[in-house]
Amino acid sequence: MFKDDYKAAFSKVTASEETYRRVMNMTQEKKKRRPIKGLVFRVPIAAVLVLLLAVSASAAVQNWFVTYFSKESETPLSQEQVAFVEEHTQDISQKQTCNGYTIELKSVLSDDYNAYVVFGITAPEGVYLDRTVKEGYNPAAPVLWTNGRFIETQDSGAGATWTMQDDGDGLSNTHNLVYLISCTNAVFQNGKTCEIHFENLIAEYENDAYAAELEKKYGCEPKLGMITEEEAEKLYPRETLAEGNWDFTITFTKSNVPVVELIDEPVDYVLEFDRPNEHVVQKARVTSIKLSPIGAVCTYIAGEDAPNGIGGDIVMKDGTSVYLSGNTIGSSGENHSNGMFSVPIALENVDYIQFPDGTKLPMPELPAE
Amino acid sequence: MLNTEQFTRYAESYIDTVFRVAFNYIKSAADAEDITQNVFLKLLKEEKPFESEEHVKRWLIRVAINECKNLTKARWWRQESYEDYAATLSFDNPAHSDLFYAVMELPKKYRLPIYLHYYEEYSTQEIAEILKEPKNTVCAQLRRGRELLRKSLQEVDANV
Repeated sequence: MFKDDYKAAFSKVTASEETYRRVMNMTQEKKKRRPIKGLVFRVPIAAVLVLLLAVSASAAVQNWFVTYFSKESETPLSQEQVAFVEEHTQDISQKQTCNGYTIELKSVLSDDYNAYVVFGITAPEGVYLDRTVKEGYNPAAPVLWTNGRFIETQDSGAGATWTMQDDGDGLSNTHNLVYLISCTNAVFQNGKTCEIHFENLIAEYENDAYAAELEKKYGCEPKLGMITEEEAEKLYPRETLAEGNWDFTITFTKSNVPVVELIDEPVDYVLEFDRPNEHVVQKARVTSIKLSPIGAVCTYIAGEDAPNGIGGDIVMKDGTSVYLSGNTIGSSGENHSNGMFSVPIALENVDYIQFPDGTKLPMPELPAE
Repeated sequence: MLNTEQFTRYAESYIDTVFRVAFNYIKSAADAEDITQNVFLKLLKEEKPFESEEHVKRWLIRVAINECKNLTKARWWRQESYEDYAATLSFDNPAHSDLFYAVMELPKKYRLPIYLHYYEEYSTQEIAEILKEPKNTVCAQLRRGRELLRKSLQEVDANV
């Protein structure tokens, strides 16, 4: 089994005896760290560099999308990626306060189909948004969300998800939420307007103690779909932090991000995936891929239980690749997959799309700007 | 703050966990050793009470990841090769060695969820909380990581 082989392989990766000794002696020794490999030469320089970076960061206005993509990326963003994000970031700064909670729509990054929207939430002092102190509960930060939603225009085909973002101010009563919206229709074009509505601010926790009880009852880790609705509500208790309505309107002005249709004629490919005790091989057909630097909207036809998304890779001219389905927001129907990439890509650097079965779709010539 | 007995117990239990998390993130044994020490120094100084042993473990993993991120952001940091370290490891059979190298060649965003799921046996929901990512993202990363590993190991088999 993969798990057994993986465990056997990585059980060999262990801390050295020297590290073990140093850690075990920490309670006896003075807390003076002695790095191993010449790090002592790096520390004074690093301290100066960190100070310089902190000073320069505080002087500059923070671009939340550079922060977001920098976290998602394995390597620092390139100058071109930072320039693209900064060029297309639309700063908005709409604030509303309701029942002591202020929500600020800070900025948006969008193309015709995809939008990242950053909200800042400020709770009254003493309300912890970045960690919970409820006894017996999972001490990870509560998952913040709202009953609110992107007000869908007709046939937007929207899928959306929230993700939390540290706003870096060190205050426990503030936090950012990043809203990712991906549509199958061009609802975010320049000049168009959309509304985002928050209805109540909700924190969802995980009740560790109850999870252990359920595990005993079911003989395995409790999963939604397996447990009753009542048990699910008790396992993931929700607390309404604030009742209220906050409404925001965005008129898009920087969505002039290039979007390229890659498909002239439908492309057939073979899709493989696993069902319990079965490896499935299925034919699929893609009829549209609209590719922008920040996302891909794909229209395809596959079997009912096929996983969301086409899969496959966007292969760049330098040989690197980006997963086409990205953070798949989900299907808006049976045959649409909206994905937003972990980092912006440069379309002129795309060589081809490679489907999971190896089928290649060359990148068309880009229209002149 | 933990007393000496508590600290020693947690250090003995999780020193290798922290090292593996750091190594999977940063692909450098020397940097992972430094990070492991830093993490336990922070544990020793942490004043906030922990609610359970599992809380301590997740805290250690979270701090290790943050230490890795801080290190990779430092201008003077350069990625070192892990292969010298890998050559010192003695695997029980060649398949484990192949798997190790294949995993280490995966992009970082797949290595860590795979480690947390297959070694530490965390669920995708738990991994999402530890890594502060949406659960869908974790599911996609695990699936994609397995796909890449399958392809990579098939290529190894074809070349044998």
